[in-house]
Amino acid sequence: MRRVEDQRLSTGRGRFTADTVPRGALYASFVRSPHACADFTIERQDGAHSDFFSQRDLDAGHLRAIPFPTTPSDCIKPPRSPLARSTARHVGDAVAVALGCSEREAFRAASLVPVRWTRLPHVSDSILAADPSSPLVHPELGSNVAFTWEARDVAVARHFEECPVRLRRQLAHPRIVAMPLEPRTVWAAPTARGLQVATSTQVPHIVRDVMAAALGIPTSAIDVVAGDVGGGFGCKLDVYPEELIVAWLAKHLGRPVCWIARRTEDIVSTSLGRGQYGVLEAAVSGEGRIRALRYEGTQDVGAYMQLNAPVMPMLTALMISGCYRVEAVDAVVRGLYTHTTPCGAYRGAGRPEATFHIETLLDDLAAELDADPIELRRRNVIPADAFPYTTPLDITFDSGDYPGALAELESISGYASLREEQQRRRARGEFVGLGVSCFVEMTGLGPSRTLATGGWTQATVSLEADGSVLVSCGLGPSGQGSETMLTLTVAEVLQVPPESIRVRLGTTVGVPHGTGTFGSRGAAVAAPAVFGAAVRLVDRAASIASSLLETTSARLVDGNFETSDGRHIGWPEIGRAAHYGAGLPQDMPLGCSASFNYDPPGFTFPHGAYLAVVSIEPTDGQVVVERLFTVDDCGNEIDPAGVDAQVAGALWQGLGAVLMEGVAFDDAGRPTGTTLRRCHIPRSTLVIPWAAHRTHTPSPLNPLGTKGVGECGTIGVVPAVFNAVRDALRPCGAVDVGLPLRAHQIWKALRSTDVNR
Amino acid sequence: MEVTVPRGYGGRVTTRGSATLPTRIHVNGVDHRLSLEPDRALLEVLRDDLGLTGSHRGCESVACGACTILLDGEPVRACAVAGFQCDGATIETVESLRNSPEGSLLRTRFMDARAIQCGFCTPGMLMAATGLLRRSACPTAPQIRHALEGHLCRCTGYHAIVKAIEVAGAELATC
Repeated sequence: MRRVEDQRLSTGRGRFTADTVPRGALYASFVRSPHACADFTIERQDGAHSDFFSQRDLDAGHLRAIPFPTTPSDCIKPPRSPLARSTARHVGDAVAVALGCSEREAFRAASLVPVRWTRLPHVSDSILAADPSSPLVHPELGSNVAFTWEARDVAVARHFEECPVRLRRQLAHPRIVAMPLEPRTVWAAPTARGLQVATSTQVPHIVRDVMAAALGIPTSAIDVVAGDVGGGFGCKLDVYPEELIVAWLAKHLGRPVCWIARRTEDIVSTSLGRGQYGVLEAAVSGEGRIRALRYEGTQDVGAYMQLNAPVMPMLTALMISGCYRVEAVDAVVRGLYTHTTPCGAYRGAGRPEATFHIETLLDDLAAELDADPIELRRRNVIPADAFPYTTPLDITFDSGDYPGALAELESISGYASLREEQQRRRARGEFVGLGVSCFVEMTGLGPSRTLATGGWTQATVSLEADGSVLVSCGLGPSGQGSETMLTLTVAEVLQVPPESIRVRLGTTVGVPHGTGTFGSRGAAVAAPAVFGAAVRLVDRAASIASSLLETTSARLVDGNFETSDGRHIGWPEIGRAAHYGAGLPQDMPLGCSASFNYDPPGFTFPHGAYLAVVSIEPTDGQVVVERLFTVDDCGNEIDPAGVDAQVAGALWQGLGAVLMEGVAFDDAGRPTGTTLRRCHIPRSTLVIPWAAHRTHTPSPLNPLGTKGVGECGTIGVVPAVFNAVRDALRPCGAVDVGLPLRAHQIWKALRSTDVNR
Repeated sequence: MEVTVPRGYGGRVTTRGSATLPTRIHVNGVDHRLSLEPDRALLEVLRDDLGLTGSHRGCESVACGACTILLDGEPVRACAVAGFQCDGATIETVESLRNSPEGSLLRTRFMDARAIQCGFCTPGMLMAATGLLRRSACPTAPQIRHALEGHLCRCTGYHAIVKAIEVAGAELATC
């Protein structure tokens, strides 16, 4: 089936936020810090009219500090004013906002704001930030530590004493720009009731709630619409100061106000992904079974705490044992403030880091024990009959078949012959490597009590008077094809053609509650919610049909409600009767819609196994991914073509992360590569032959048996390629490489070995 | 606190008063006579003056390709051309694709191949592909990938886009 969304998106009729700016809107432009850390003053000439606003103006106008919740709630989080007050804490930190009739005028006005900077010492690295002699990002805290979270287990020490093999691995996952093609954009317009807001976000309801709290007006006075969102990947799941300031300006000026990020300011002001450094230690038995793990992680928080900064390393810790049966895990993670753009969620958020650590360690272990990496994994994975399986950190995996995925991978890749081919090519002096990763990931965040923002989702399915169907749900998709997926879900239950169904997402209008889109919630949380509502709608319609047919037991058969003696009526007749009342008894309630609140009883755990074949060009260190084999399992699939598309996109983002992406900071704490031209992301010329396969282990947690899939590719492919490159380098002993695997680094690693000298 | 609307923000008034240039452009089959300030990009003219919001701005450095349109039949970044420079030119944007044979075929093949995810890069991809198919019938996958190198897509990994263009090209060549 073609996607519902594509009719409008392929004809230029998408409704992206910048496409819907009201006529007569003023444009906002932010003055941003060019320094990593600097005190500043803004000189206002007395008596002269100024067309910009600083935090002093926002204070006077009662725009409150950003009041969003975090998980865990005990994070050390200094109140964040929407604009910096007197100290800018990262390159891109907004210190003032100027207005104009056009973007160009606003930009010009912003460039004329007289800011005087006094540079201060900075720290851009989370490890350095822990050093007591480092500059403090928030001096009032007395330390750069933002949070510490731990899951201690004393049994781990015993395993480390008893086990004959011990391994230790340090890895850094550099910060990454999520880089959705649509930059962040927001406009707000005053209405008789309050504010109408359009913003490019994954979480319209959370934006509404935080905005209402910041402006001090009721949530019912604000409508937030996300429209079409041009990619999010996690970075649009924060509530940003710009959104609150634009809303405040619109409210106080009584005019629509719009802000469209320029690409460079988007890169320096939008949450960066990853940014975790960790040390993983394993205690392993003589037979190569991992008994216990110890993990110490450091998350770069950036200059300010975003919604998800603490969640990411917690998820890393919780998933550090991967898909392996481990007896004990001891984990401690901490977050550190640095003078850099705040860190937040990015496709995978914490799970890629965990998978990267454990899968790299598995390959190290295989090398140490001289075992085959797949065989070693087979020895350690949780067996298929052990589900539901509870990990040492008390996370319950719903279902899975990890040995099955490994077997499938061996079979589709022709693993044995790939290894033979590798031997032949190595004998000819080529640098060829095979890398495996076997991963599990947690999707569909919930139940609600585990999250500060709640995890449940509401869905409503309504039958209209003409027999068409309106579905609304608190999802905030950004390209996942959720409208199509939910259309298919409802079409199957109601037995109606997909064309008669309209799905309303990404808006607070008519959808009282929703947590938005993140953590692959679409199929894992929204679909069961919509399914539940649709099932209830069928019950309701059946009672109306029974009344109209003067029977007690009309049943839905092939899209019509039938009686046992063969009489039947269809959805349009029921819709008409339910809306206008004709033919229904007095005591029958009118209308035909059903709502369902779905609070997931737990996470769902999709999994997979990937294999990459790489070669390295010894003259320049260029990594060529020659082949990629993937086995994914996300349970039952509602829209298999949509799953294909999600896996493909996620894989290529992962390939970007492992091969080229990563934000570096220069000595002055300025990020490098802040334009699209200088920022490396995969282009159309990155061609990798790829064979995809899927297995299906349904989730027992929801009636559809679905799990999320949007992040699997990103999570699985990084360690597969990383392990393959290290495998290629192993004969010459140059395995000490890090992310991203750019040619220059590999070339240097090769140069440092005797083989290539 | 009292916040007043700053001076000069009267709405449609141009505060700079710079000279404008009379420009006549033919967009999607319709003639437009405009007075354009010399520093306004064609993309702004299309989006703000003509309401054709299908062409998107993804960068300010001519690096993303999301604003690609056809200028006298050639794919061009609308953010990199001043509006007045297009005086006398014929412009096609994504909104016109339904009316051209290559365009409507490409649209359906993009949908069939699931070559659209968030849809932000799609208009630029479709216009680049239309230009490519008019230039060279039946392009090979490497030719397509080369033609799209300056077009960024963060969602799809490009395979589906390349496939859709390949299929459309093959169909056009045979019919």
